[in-house]
Amino acid sequence: MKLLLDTNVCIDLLRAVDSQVSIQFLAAVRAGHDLMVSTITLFELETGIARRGRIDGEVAGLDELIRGPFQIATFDRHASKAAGDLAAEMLATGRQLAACDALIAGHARALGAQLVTADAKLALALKEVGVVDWRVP
Amino acid sequence: MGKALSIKDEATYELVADLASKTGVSMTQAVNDAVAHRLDELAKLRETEAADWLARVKGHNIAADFMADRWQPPLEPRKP
Repeated sequence: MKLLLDTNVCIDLLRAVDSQVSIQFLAAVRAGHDLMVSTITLFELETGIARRGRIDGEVAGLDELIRGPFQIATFDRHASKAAGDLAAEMLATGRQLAACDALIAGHARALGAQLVTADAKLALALKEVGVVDWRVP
Repeated sequence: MGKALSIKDEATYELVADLASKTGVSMTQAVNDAVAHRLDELAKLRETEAADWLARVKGHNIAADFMADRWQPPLEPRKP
């Protein structure tokens, strides 16, 4: 199974605030799932670091994060089309996705991956494949 | 099954030979048992490596206050 880890999952793994996320992450690794992180997530994390002046500890944290047991998935032409379609579908139902939500959810759809996220609202956008919340046991 | 058949490393071959010679099982059974055993070993290795990585990244704090901007208006109905 392909799993795209949303930014909030990466932050949970870094902060270790929720052991349930770590437990489910290790279970997914053991099960041999294809874990991926979007370059859009890297953008979001880079933004967080840049806003605080690229503190050494935070830069090191991101450097270590990208060495993790997952593939960094490049947001490509296919992903941009899927994200655009997704954003348009949501607008057609009278709902508007935040830009990064649309990009990451669209990337998951393009990859044929389930999105692992703590943002339950994205389940509406990805109802055909659903989302997984590792904070929930 | 496709994944199991991709396990063609030396350790698997040795395990097949060992199982076939010691237990007297058929070669097919020995291959199946060896592959299952190796898959389990590799899964444990992946998990151990992931746990080591997790221990290294834990405690690295990346400011995520900007995420609030993303989460605040995620799926609000569009105003007419």
